[in-house]
Parts: sequence; structure tokens; C-alpha cells
Amino acid sequence: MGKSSKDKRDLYYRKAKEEGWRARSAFKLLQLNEQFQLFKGVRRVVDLCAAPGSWSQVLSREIYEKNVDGESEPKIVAVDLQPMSPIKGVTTLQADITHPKTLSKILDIFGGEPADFICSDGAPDVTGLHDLDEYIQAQLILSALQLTTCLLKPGGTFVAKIFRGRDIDLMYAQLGYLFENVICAKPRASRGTSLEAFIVCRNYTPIPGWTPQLKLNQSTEEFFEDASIARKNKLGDKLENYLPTEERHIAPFVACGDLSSYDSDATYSLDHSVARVSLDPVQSPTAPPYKKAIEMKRKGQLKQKAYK
Amino acid sequence: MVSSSLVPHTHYGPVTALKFIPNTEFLIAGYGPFIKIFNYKTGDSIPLSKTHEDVKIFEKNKIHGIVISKPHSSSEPTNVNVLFYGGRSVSVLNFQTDILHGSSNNRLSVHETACNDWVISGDFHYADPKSIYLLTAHNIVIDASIVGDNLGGLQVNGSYNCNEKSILYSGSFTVLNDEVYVFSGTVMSGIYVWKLGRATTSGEVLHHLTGHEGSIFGIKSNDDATLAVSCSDDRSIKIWDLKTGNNIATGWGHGARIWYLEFFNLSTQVMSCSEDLTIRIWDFDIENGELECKKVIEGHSGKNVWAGAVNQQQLIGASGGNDGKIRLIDLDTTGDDTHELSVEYLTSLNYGKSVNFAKNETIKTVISGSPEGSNNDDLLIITSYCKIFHVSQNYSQVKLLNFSHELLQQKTITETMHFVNNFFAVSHIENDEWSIMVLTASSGYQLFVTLDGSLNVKDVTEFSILDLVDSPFSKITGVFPISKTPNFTYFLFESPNPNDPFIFIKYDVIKLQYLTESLTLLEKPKTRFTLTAYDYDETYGYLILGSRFVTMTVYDLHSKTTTNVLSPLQTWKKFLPGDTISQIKVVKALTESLLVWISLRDGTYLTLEISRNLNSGDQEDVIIQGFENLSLTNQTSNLKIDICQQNRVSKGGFLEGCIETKSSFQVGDRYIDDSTNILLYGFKSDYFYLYNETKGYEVWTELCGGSHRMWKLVYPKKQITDDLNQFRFYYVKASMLVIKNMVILPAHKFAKDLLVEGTHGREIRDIAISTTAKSVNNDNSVIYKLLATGSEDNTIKISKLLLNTNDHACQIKNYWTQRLHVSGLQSLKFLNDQYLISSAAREEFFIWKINDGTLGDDSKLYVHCYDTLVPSVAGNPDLRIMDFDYLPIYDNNNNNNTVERSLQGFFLCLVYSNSFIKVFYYDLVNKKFHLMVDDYYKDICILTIKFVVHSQKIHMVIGATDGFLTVYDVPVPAGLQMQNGNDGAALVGEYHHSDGAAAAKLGRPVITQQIHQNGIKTMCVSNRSESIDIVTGGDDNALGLFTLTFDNNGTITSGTIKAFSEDAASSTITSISPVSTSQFLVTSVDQVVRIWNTVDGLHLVDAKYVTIADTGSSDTTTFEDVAGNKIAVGAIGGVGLSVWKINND
Repeated sequence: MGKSSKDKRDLYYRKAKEEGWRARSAFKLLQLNEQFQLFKGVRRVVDLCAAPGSWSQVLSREIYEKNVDGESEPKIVAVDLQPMSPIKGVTTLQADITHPKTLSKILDIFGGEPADFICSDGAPDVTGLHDLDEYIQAQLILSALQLTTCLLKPGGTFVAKIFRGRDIDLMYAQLGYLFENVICAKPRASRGTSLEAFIVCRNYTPIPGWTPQLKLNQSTEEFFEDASIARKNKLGDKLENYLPTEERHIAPFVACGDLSSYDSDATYSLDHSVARVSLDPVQSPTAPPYKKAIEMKRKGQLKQKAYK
Repeated sequence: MVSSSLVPHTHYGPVTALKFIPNTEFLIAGYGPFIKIFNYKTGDSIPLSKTHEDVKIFEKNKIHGIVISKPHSSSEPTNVNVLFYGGRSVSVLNFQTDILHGSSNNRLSVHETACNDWVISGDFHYADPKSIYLLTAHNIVIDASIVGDNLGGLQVNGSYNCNEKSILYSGSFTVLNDEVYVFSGTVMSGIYVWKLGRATTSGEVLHHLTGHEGSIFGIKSNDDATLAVSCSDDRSIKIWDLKTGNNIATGWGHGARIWYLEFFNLSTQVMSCSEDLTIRIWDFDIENGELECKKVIEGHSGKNVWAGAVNQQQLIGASGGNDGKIRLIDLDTTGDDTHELSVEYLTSLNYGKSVNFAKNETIKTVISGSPEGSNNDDLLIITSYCKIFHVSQNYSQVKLLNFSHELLQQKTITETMHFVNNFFAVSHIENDEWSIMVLTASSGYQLFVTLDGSLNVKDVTEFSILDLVDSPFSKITGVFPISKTPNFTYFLFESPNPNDPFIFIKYDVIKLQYLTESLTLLEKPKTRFTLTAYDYDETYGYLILGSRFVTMTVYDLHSKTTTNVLSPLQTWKKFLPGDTISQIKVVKALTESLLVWISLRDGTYLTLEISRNLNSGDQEDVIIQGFENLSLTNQTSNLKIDICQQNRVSKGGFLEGCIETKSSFQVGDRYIDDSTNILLYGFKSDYFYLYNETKGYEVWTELCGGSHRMWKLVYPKKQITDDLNQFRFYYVKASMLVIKNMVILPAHKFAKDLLVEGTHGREIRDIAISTTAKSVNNDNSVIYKLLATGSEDNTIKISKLLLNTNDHACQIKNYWTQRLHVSGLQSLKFLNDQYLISSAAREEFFIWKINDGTLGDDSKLYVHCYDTLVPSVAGNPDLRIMDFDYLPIYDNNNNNNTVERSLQGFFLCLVYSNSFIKVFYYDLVNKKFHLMVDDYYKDICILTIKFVVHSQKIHMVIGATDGFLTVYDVPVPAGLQMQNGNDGAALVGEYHHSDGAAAAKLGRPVITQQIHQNGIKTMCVSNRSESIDIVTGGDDNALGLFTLTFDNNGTITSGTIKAFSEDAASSTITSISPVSTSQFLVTSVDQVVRIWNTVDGLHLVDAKYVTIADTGSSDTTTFEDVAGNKIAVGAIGGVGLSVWKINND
């Protein structure tokens, strides 16, 4: 979350800076919780693809710090491949969510107990090739889901970011095998112009007779092959004819966040709410891979050499 | 119940894959799930069925890769198998039997088979074109083969992995006999190079290449797997030695992600395509470990060039963009037709005779032999000291010209005399067989040197122009020839003294003399005027001169009386924002006016209609200042200007001028011959460009160092077709004359550099189709309506949606790409066939006027911004005008004849992202917005608005992000009557807005009803006489049917949700367009287009998959063919454009 001209345009963005959230997406989890009471009775939580950590911040404030009943201390684990600055009450793991070691580390922290709630706000960099982006996002969800099936208690809740593009109904159908209740939720903090939404999967019902097991070098397809939720077109002896009637399901849609809360699509005049001061970002953005290319361009080193 | 069915017709979208078939003239292009086949040599597309040029390979998935097997025999290069892959889909087809001859049903997708994972790459077995390898996104290689014939599907023989199952973004195979190398580009952990095991299912990792940062977007080896080239999110290109695994060269240059890489020319060169819209050619120097960018081609518009292909034998590259364009590129960079001539070179070749040059003597200008017909490449080169060299064809022979004229003789004796001070200008009057070189001195002396077709001197005559002028004249510093006919040329002379007039005179090029009676002294305008552009029209006798600060003056040469002194008829000063007028070109004389093209150096270009003001009293030199008074027809102006076309170039820099070329295109079985291409040329930073403005691509560039040097663009004077090979560009750099013969279309390689024109390169946000069908030709065999598309790329494209009334083939042809918006488009609507309205962020709200065949006898299409609404809030880039609606107001002079009624203005309602609701009366004649209502809804963004008219009442319906539909009454101003016509509701009568009237408030809404859970994205209103249906589409996947009922006075009596379908789509509903009063076409982001019927509820009638992503907009229209059959057509926009026929059963 940098310091940019976006300052002027998005109220949630400014509010996030003011309230000390690392990203505006914190409000999305808060609004999802408002609607679904996600944090109620939750003692063990995993935040996947957590960096820069705004969801972990929410979990820390809402679950760790509000733990007033004096019961055992709630455990929150945040996992990401990127490093993350520490958050009170949150154990951060810089690890790969598909790696078996990550699973055992989390279980160690939980004292061998399963998680009550697992969430993921992860999204890949968008290429612009819509089908590829949808595939990569689906893989991210499936990676989170395979860890979830190894870690979540029966009856537990899984929340993840989705993009409602083509074939999202296939994903709903797959999730329907693992959870009793699958809802597509759109918090008001998420822009209407964005395809972003969140799947709220409640009441985890493990598939009878299937013991999910994370293995090194196993694809998500292979992981779910034994469960009945794998795609119908399995790699068998024959590549099957393309089935246009794959199982599809439209999950019920729920808009969340109070109608009186801020509208992420609206343009607010700044004096209307907050003073017009430039706020420094809560955490500096990580350097992109193309940092060197940008520097070279700035120095004029990328210019084509003139005619010799 | 009438039920409609959807039939896909034409798909315009991103090019996702390209492949040349070796040893043939075929190029296969993947357009999403479709392919098109081109003969790259002729540039023609090969029809793959009776009605279509494309054929569907996959049902839904996009083709991301095409691989060609080895031919069965070298004599049959088209008898090859073609492997298509994309997403999880795979298909293997024989090119000859399945694709060229077997696709008459337009559907080869029956051959499609599914893999259990995303396919990253594929290749054929080295010996068996029925066996394939597929690399999946989890880095697993599947070995499969065709069962029986191709229809039998694919059988899996086994799979391989190298124990590194990271997710891949890219990958490739190199099959060297029985050794199969796999190159895997991962998301997070670099590149794996591995080899399939021969006996086992495992693979051996040979290298793990980790020099890149970020995800690997491309990795490919050369033919013998000794070198690999890769790219990643770090935007660099790296070359790897596959023996050692070392990174041996790195190239930088692309400004965004790179999507395609390929070695060519024995691995000494690399072609790359990128998100930054460029294609780059790189030279790889293996000795020094250097990868250097040799050439940059800006071939596309919008964002992203996804696909590339290299024809290794012919050295041709092809690129395919998100804009749907396919470009062909000559990869042979050595054969560049360039010649450089230095002063020293001229000396050395002068038949051995030495020529003495002054120390600072440089090449000043050049005259080329006639570029038409004669193929004469001879040149005359004139130095700054006025030495003239004749350079023969091929630049091998050079001769110093020696005129036997005393003026030259005298001066050449002493080198100290600077000729440049005397003969400063060289003009060239061309003819098919001969030409005249005119040397002009500041003293007024001129030498007319007659040259034959080989530029040999035939005759030299001398004349002093100032001898004809009685009054004192300081000196001549500018001489400008204007050739209109072969026999005469006009000369215009300029002096630096503002009190000296321009001298205008006609020269007889046959008799080699001035027509002294034609001499006219043109008094300069009463404002600072340095001539920068000029043209003369013989029909009206208008001499039009341009200057700095967008100042233009017109002299009426036909009005010359007994004296030979003439003052300007009219001068316009700063009539547009901008600076120098760089080009004035008479386009056409119409019956009562003149069409003139103007280029401004800062990048604006326009077409003006200049006509006589019949009310004027013919006063002398009227000066009109500023833009507002441009088209004033008051008594004080002699001429009036109407802007017909105005636009800006897509790039910055300096616009120098425009050239028109002609080409034709086909709609079904009919050829259309009216396609004009506008070529713009100018300079951007340090290069010269030639840009096809109509088709939107850079045709040619030259890194010449900038615009400050002597340069000349020479092209045939006759009508030019798309063949641009006769263009030549000269410039002087470092005292060297550089001659560039533009080889845009290398003769033996390809005849067209652009195979497909394409559309926007970014998402289309709104579509509008005009109401009236017009005929392209006189027999109504091809009719069209105007189609406007507004995109995320900030542009509006004005196209024709053409329909062949015989075979019902449908095509979209673009004419203009308007670039006035600086933010992404929100909404677009045709008011009628002449006015289009667009809105966007930054409160941009533009009214466009379209002249389509309405300018006298000029049938061309012109577009310009007629008026803009001044933003209400300064400096808020996010304040978007989300939607608007209009009600036309006609005057009632022709009350009985509604066809003739004339548009007086319209009511506009606008909704904003800050919840503002505004209603304006727009006075079309006086170009004025009058604010009538100024109110707001709540603290949230309003998404959509519609006027609803019933009986004699006007209402307004808005839909916002809270899911509520709100209906307001709008008072009908006195004197206006409601009328319902075929093209919707209208108001008729006299309306005069009183200027002082304060903006009103809306008052309490009549109805407030929540319909959706969140944003109402779109609405469609259907007038069903008794009641009005409003169909709403939401972000919540739902469709609502809301019905308003009225009493006899038009007062709303009720508003009811008649039906609600909560799972009408699996994603956001983005647009609803009417098919009839009870049938609607509905699009949603899930890429399904549906037809819903609203009789007694909401009923799904048909649902079809749409092949374009981010489906976000639509419009529908109905054509009528000669037999009176109705043809309903729907256009759907997203990342591309999809045209559908809607059949009513």
C-alpha cells in the first residue's frame, strides 16, 4: 500500500491508513465477520497468503485482543512466502502452503488440535489473459483448500477470495462436496467494478473414508483425485472427450456490510470525512521483480540506440 | 410465446496463438477458441466454410499454442498434423484433410479432448505425428497418442515428472530424435530444464536456472537445444548456455511483461513480443555475450501482444495482439534499403576529379527522380554552397553538375562566396517525363533548370521575380510552389517584413515563364504571421495560409479586381488550443464549400468545411479570435468554418502531415471500395514515424535523431493504394544524406503488413448502434448502421456494422478512433444518426457530431466533438459520470411530418459516482447546457439512469450500489408535447430556457424499492403501453422485473417487483438490451449470453457461451433485407467484440 494519488479516491484506502491497517482489505474481513459471525468461538485460526498482513491484523484485534473470557489464549498463524512484519498474537510463518512441513508446523503451534477457521485473501498477479488468471486463482484456492482439508475441524469455516469469472460455478460445485453451506459474499469494501468476491464455506464435512495427505511434489489435481471432488475429466487411460456439461452450481450471493457503511464505488469529497493530508503507508510495498527495469528506464538506459 | 435463439456470428478478439506451417504459405492464427488461416504471401484469409473465415477448434477454451508435426513427405508440406492446446483442451487435426477441407460445418470442436490439468505446452513425437507430449501446469509431461483416426480421441501412454511440481507459467519442448527436453518456467522458482527418461516415468533435471526475478513467462531453446532464451516478470531477456547452464547474455528494453520469445537466423537473433505493445528484434552476439535490441516495432494498440511466430525459412515474423491485429514483420534486418551519402563520398566518386569543398559545406537538400512509373532512382543533391551533384541509380556514379549559367559560373570561381546566401531554396516541379528544378535567391533571382527523366540538365533560364513588383520589397526568405495541374504551378513568395505582402503568381511550366497578369500582392493579416503551411483551391480561388498559434488566413483570388493587391478575406487567430499549423491540404471542393485538412504540429488534426457567409458584407480582413466564435455566422464574418473531423494522434511528438491511401474490403460476397486509410507522419522523440490512423498501427519508423534536421518524405502523387513501397524518406544527419527506401512490403515475402485490423486492445465498456440503416452501394446489397464502442483504453471507435442483405454476412469496419477522453469510458449512446454522447471519469461528458455522407457530395464519415460539459468539480479524477439518458426535443414547425422535424435540443439526465443527479436542457443550436435539476441521491455511487415517459409525464429511474430502484417525477416544461415514435419517446414543441432560472430539486421520490442486494448494474426499459417494465441486472447475479403502472394522466399508481431470478447468472450481470418489448439479451461476466422473456415473469429462453472475456456491454438492432426479412443482431463487448444473430422462431 503505497503513497499515491489513490489517496484522493478511495475512502476505505484512507480509512485503512488512518486506522493503521496494512491494506484496505481489512475492512472486507470485518464486513464478512459482521455478516457471518466468522470469529465467534474461534480459538485456532490460519491466515493463508497473509502478507502484508491486514487480515492477520483483523484476526489479532478481533480474536486475540478481544479474548476477554480468559480461556486459553487463541492461536493465530499467518503463512506467506513473503516476509511479514510481526503482529501481536500472530505467529508468522514464511512458508509454502503446499509443503507438508508447513502443515506440521501449524499443527505444532496448535498443539495438535485442528483449526476452527481458515482464511485466504491471496490473489496472483493478473496477466490479462482471463482464462489463465482464473486458472491460477483456482489453483491458489485449491492449494489453500488442500491444506484446509488436512487442518480444519469438522464444522469449521473456510473463507477465500475468488474472482467471479467464467467457470466459477465449477468451483462452487467442487466446494459443495466439502462444506454444507457455500456462499458467495461481496463486502461493500470490495469495489463493484471488481470481479472480486469471497467464498464463505461453512460446516466442513470431511469426505467419509478419505484421509487427505499433503505430499511433496503432488499436484492439487492428484491430491483431490481420491476425493470425489476432483474434476470429472481425470487423467485416465484416455483423454476424455470434452464434457460441456460439467457439474456447475451457482452459490447463493450475499452482499455484506451495512448499507450505511462507505461505498467503495462512490466518490467522496475529502472534507466530507477526513482532513486532506497525505498519509504515509503503514508498510512499504515490497519491491516488484521489475524494479531494475524501471530504474534503467528512469536513467534512460532502455532507449534504443540511435542509428549508427 | 415468441422465443428467440442466439446464433454466434462473428468474433473479434485477442490473438492467442500464431504458427507458420513450414514450407507453405500458410499462417494459422488462434482467436480464442477459433482459428483463421491466412496466406501470408498474399495477405488473404482462407475461407474455411461457405459463410465463415474462422472455424471453432475448442468449445470454450482459448487456443494458447499451435504445433505443427513434420510432414508425411517433403513434397506434401500441408499434409501435417496440427496440435492445438489451450486451458485443459487438446486437439490434433490434419491440416489438409480436417482444417482446409473438412470444416464446412464451422465446428471442429468435436475433436476436442480434455486434459486433467492446464496444458502449458505440447509437441509431437520425433517420428510419429500421431504421438504427442503435453506439459501440464504442475510440471508433468503426458505422453499420449491418437486412437485410430483423429476422431478417436487421445490415449495416454504414460506420464513423466522430474520431482519438481511447481506451478508453471510457461514451458516448451525440444524434441531431438528420441531425446525430449522439457523447459519449465515456474511461478516462483526459476526455470527447470529436464529430459524425459527413456525407460522410466521420471525425468532428469539437467539445469535449474535461477537468474531471473519473478515468474517465468517464457522459455524456449534453439533447434539443437544448445541455447535457451527466457523472460520473466523482471522484464529482461536472458540467454542460457545449455551445456553449462550459465546465463551468457541479458537484454533489457521492454517496458512491461514479455509474452513471446523465439530464436531465428541460426540462433543469432531473437524476436520478442510484449505487454508494452512492441515487437523487438534482438541481435545475439555469442562471442561477446551481448543481446542488443536492433529494432522496435510498435505494431499494436491497447495493451499486450500475446502471440508471435517466426517463419524460419523466409525470415518473417508475425505478431498477434490483444487488439486482434496480426502484423507481419520482415525479420531480415540486413537487407534494409538504406543508403548514406557524405560530402566526401560525393567527391570521391566524381569521376576522379576532385571538388573543393568549403570547411562547413554540407548537404542541404535532395531532389529525387520521379517516383512514379519510371523507376528512376537518380538523385540531385544540393550542398549548402549550392554545388549540385547528380547521383545515378544504385548510388554508384556521381557527377558534379556544371550549368553554363553565368550566375552560377561567377560564384563557383571563388569558394569564399556563399551561395547559400543567394540561392536558399530549391523547389522541384515534377512531371511524368521531366521536371524543373527552381533555385531561388533572396534577391528574387530564380534559375529554372529543366531536367529530363534521368535528371540530366536540358535547359536553364533565369528570372527575377522582384522585377514584377513595383513597390520596395526587402527580400525573399520563403518560396513555396503549389502544383495543381501539370501545365501550371503557383509560386508564393514570403518576406520577413510584415509590411511586405506575399507574392502569388502562376508559372507556365510548358512555356517556362511567369504569367505576369496573374501576379497578386497579398497583404499580410493584421497579426503576426509566419507562413508554416499553405494550399490553394482553384475551384473557389481560396488560398489558405497557416501560421503559428493556430492562425489561418484565407485570400479569395477570384475576387481580384483591377488592382493586383488583395487583402485577406478572413483570418482566424488561435481558433483551437495548440501551436503551429504544420499542414493545410484541400481535400475536396463541394458545391458550396471547401473541405480542408489541417494538421497541427502538437498532434491535433482536423477537417474543416469552409464556406461563404451569405450574410456578410464582404469586409476586409476580418480577424476572428478564439474557438468560441469559430462558426459564427454573423454579419461581420466573410467565411464560416465548420469542424467536421477533429482528433489527436495516439502518440506525442510532432505531427507533420497526413496522406490518404485507398483499399477495399469484403462483406460476404460483396466488395466495398470506400475504405480510406489516413496515414499520419511526424516525429516522436528521436524518430520519424508513419502511422496508419484508420487501422491503428505504426507502419514504419526511422531513428533519425529528431525533427530538427533536413528531411523529406517522397511518395507517389497519384492515388495511393495500400502498397507503400514507393515511399522514400530522406534526412541529413551528421552531414550525411540518409536515403531510406521504405520496404514496408518486401516483394517476395508478403503483400500486406497487417492481416487483420482488429478492435480495441482493452475491454470494451459500452456499445451503441445507431437507428437508421443506410446503404453502402446504391442497390442496397450491403447496408449498415453506425456502431460506436467505448473502451478502457480511453478511446471511442466509430465503425460501421455492415450487413450483406444477400448472404446476411455481417462485419464491423472501423473508421475513426477518437482520443479526446483521458479516462476509461463509462457510457455511450446514439441520440440519432448524427449525435453520439459519451461519458467517463473526470466528469468527461462529450457530445459528438457525426457527418456520415451529409456533407454535400462528400460521402466520407467524419466525427468531431461538438460540445463538452464543463466539469462541476475541479480536479477530482475519480468523479465519474456513471450513466446518462436523453429525451430529444423537436421543434413543431413540421408537426404533420415527423420525418422532417428538426432537433432543437434534448433533456439530459446524468448520474455521478458522488451520488449527484443532474438534469440539463441542451440547446443544440446555441451549444448551451442549462442546468434544470441539481440534486443528489445518497452518499453512494449511482450506477444507472433512465428517463421513463408515459402519457404526458416524464419520470426518472435510477439504480445505485445499494440495490435500490428509485423513481422521481420530472416536471414537463410548458409548451412541450410527448410523442412516441419508432425510435423511442420524444418531446415536440417550442422550448425556451430562461437563463436566470435556478436549478430545481427533485423532491421526494415517487417510488423507492430495493430489488438487488447490491449494485444495480444495468437497466432496460420497455414501454408496454398500459405499463412500463424495467428489467434490472445486479452484481448479485440476479435479474429483476419491476413494473410501473399509471393512471390516465401518466401519474404512477404502483411499482411492483413482478419477478426476481436470484441465480440468473453465476456472476455479475453487466448489460441488458432489448430484442422486443418482452425479450431481452442479457450479458454477464460468466461469459454466458442469455435471452429472457418477461411475459408473466422472467423466463430463460436461450443461453449460449460467449467467446470473449470480461463480457461487459451489449446493444441490439434490427436490419431489414431487400425482401423485407428482419434480421436481429446483437453486439457484445468485452475483451473483444462478438456479433450474434437473434432468430425469432
